[in-house]
Amino acid sequence: MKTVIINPERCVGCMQCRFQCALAHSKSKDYFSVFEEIPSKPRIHIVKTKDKEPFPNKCRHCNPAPCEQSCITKAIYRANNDEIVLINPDKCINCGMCAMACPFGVIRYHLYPHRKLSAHKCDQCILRLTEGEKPACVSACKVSALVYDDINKYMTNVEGRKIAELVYLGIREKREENINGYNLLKAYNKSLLEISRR
Amino acid sequence: MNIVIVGLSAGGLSCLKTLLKYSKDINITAITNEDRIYSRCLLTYLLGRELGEKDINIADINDFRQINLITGKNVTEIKREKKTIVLEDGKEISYDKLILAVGADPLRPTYTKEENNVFTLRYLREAVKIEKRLKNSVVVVGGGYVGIKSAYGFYKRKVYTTMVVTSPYPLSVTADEETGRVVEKELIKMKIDLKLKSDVIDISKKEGLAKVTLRDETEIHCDAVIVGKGVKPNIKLAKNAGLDCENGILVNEYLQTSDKDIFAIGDCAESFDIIRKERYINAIWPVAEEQGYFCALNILGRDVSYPGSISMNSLKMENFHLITAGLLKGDGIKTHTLWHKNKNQFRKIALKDDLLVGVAFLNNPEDAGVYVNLIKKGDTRISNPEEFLTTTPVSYYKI
Repeated sequence: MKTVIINPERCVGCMQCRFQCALAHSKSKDYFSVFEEIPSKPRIHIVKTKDKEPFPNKCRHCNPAPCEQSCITKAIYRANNDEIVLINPDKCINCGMCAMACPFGVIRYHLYPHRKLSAHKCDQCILRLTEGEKPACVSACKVSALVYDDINKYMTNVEGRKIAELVYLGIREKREENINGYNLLKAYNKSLLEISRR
Repeated sequence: MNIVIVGLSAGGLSCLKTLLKYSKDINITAITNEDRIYSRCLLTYLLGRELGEKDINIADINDFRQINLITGKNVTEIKREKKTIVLEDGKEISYDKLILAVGADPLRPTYTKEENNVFTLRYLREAVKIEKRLKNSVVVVGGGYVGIKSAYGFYKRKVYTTMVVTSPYPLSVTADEETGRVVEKELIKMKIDLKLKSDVIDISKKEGLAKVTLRDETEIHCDAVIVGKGVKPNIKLAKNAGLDCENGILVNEYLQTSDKDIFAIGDCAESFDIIRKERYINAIWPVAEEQGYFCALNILGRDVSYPGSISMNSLKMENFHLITAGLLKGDGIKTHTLWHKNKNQFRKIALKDDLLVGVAFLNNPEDAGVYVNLIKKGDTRISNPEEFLTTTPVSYYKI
């Protein structure tokens, strides 16, 4: 199953993905679409983590999706072989149940171009996918924080992770329990600071 | 395998869809006592004429040609020794696994004897009756979610609405006083005549109108009275079959009743509440759907245990949006609120010792889901609530 994979430790918080997302979903698909009557809003959010690092937060298209289960009008449905969770803005009545159910906090409420207020979230650029292109945020990302790939293949590619782990062990003598991207980044930043003080 | 599903609302439908998705060679019979599949939560929107009668359908009966669908029939009996159920026309259907998603009926207090003007709002047929009766004025009894949502519907239709609430503030079952007062203020802004700490004593008929007498002997004349005083689970069928019942049908963590071939889901099933740490019925739509999903997986032999539910609800109106989840008041529960007065927003968390047990959000629904799921985890300890309220909630996923 191909999906957008996030490498949060690579994100620099440049917000290019947000701009390209808004552009790809705008009516005119033009850089001046911000001047449209109802501006298109981005569907990916860059939030700060505890250590003030940027984290790209977008819909994970869960299966089963809590938002789909909690939708009382069944405006939220699955498409593309059940891989993508979509919202039908015509059916949505803005009851707020999906925002209450979403464990990642990615659902917002915005006006759509045909003047209807509706729930608003990532649609994995389903129109671009049918044209054979990658999602807009992925092609916008310059640092490979967002990758469009087969998730099972990507997770089994452990070589890079092992190297990262070795580097981490080299920096920190004591091995911590979970080595994830942010711990690595923190350790790396710390060592850079130490080097600069020498 | 013969699977019989009784009831096709949230729980039954979700269970049916999951079964159809993951298994091809099972024989499913679904029985519903109504002639269409619609969303009950949308009835108040139907009354407010925000939605038409077709918009409330959530599934088309013709979509289920591969199963045996029986509409408009009640189930009268379960014969556990023969493993069959009996329909109201005497037909017997045998089952290997039976799923009871029979839901709940609205509570009807003693003053609801008068049938022409007094209604509850749970089924489409009741909404149609109210629609026929309604002209200029209406009385809504009960300050819960159903009461407030239908009052909002009437406000949209410009029908003069009086609300009779027994407790000192609306939403007294789920929300704390501060939240209730906010809702009260908004209701008064919508020009709804709010009668707090008051109760209906008697309803009589007078020249085609209903005459409602309150405890302080006020008399209100109106076209229709809508009673939203909560629901009680339909346990008659299960009780007659000898299944264990208390308030609802008792189920274990695999959603099985005391008979291992009979499952119960949705509003009629008394499952586990994560915060209360005891059996409790959270009669809400998302919980029913979730239970339907878990039940279908269990029937297909995956053996996944249902983690339990919490109560949560969302109330969206013209000028405010309130989300409440979990417990906001009770023994030893302290609330901490972060107000943004200029934006008319607040975030509220409720802590029992240092365990997160409840949240309320006014006008900022974006992050509500993260907090709700932190409550669902059941072990979110917070030492510094002020700091917790001001930081972005995503950082609490330990990333």
